[in-house]
Amino acid sequence: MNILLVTLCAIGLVYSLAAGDVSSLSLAAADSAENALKLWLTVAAAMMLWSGLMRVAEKAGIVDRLCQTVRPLMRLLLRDLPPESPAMKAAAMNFTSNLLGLGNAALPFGLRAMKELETARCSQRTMAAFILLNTASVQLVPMNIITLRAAAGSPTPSDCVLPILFNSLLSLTCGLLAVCAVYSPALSPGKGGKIRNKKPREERAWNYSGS
Amino acid sequence: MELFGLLAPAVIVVILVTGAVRGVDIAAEFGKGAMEGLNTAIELLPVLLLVVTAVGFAYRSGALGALGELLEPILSRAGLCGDVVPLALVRPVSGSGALAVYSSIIGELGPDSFAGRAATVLMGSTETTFYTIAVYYAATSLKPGRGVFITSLTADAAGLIFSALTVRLFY
Repeated sequence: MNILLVTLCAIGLVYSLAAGDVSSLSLAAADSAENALKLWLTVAAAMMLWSGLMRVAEKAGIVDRLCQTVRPLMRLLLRDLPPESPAMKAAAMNFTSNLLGLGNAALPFGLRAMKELETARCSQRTMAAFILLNTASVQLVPMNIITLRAAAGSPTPSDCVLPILFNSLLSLTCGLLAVCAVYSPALSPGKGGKIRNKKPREERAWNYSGS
Repeated sequence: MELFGLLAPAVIVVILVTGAVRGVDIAAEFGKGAMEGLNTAIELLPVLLLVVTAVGFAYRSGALGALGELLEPILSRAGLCGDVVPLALVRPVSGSGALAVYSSIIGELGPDSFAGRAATVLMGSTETTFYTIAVYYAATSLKPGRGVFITSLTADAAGLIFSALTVRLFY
């Protein structure tokens, strides 16, 4: 994070000095804080509205219902977990929250799922698949983005829903193929029997640093 | 496509109606949830201020645009546009940074321009990968193996490469 901040400022300064145009930089320094606040206002309002609504949805049992719906998919992806294990439940809750565009709600479930995965001594492959589920960011309702698009003046802010879903499913698929390739010797599922030998070294990646 | 304009209102109505039918104290529960959302947002604010300033430096000086132009010849081969490069670089590392870059892209180039749409798809279909891996593995006593990074970054790269394709396909 430090590196990112310093790099961004440094390349900005160096470039504008080299281009001989420092006025845009001083302008950026002057009004960035205000821009940040405007941006924050947009995001914060959406976050409040949707966190509130999702709490209502949780109390009304909608989240549980969705969890049930995604269970078969989870079972397919995390195949060495027992279907009724606490790890599976936490993973399903985590995935559901992500699906609804609730990164904040997803995090605690994700952490619990990781703990349970460790206790269950599941394979590296399952953990990688679970992480992938989170980083591929499959969303049904990308509310923050729709809000930002509306704030930027788009007449059709929510026409991005399908493309986003399509693209994340595509990248999730690529990630899963990578999972199959990387962890192939250990637990290769029936993905067309495409087993490419990559030396079974991955099991060594377990690191029992006693804590 | 306009059908999706109904998505948000429909979700809201479904949640509220189901809540009412199941006898949830909607106002109270909504208030608690919204408070949590507000707290998260407030925690985000200080970092966002700093990051938006840093991104403003790099973006408004023209440096990021120049980087995009530099990579343009390679990227256009793959049908990508250089304007999303800054977002693709920041996205896996920092959530607030990505937010800042994304909002400057759609602010400067328009949310419905090609670059704006590609950035939207990229923003929505990828995550702060490094941060996620670090935080999630911190909950365990394990260290993330190389495979985790390889697989997650493969998905991110695929997300970037396919973003332009997806935009062409849908619009």
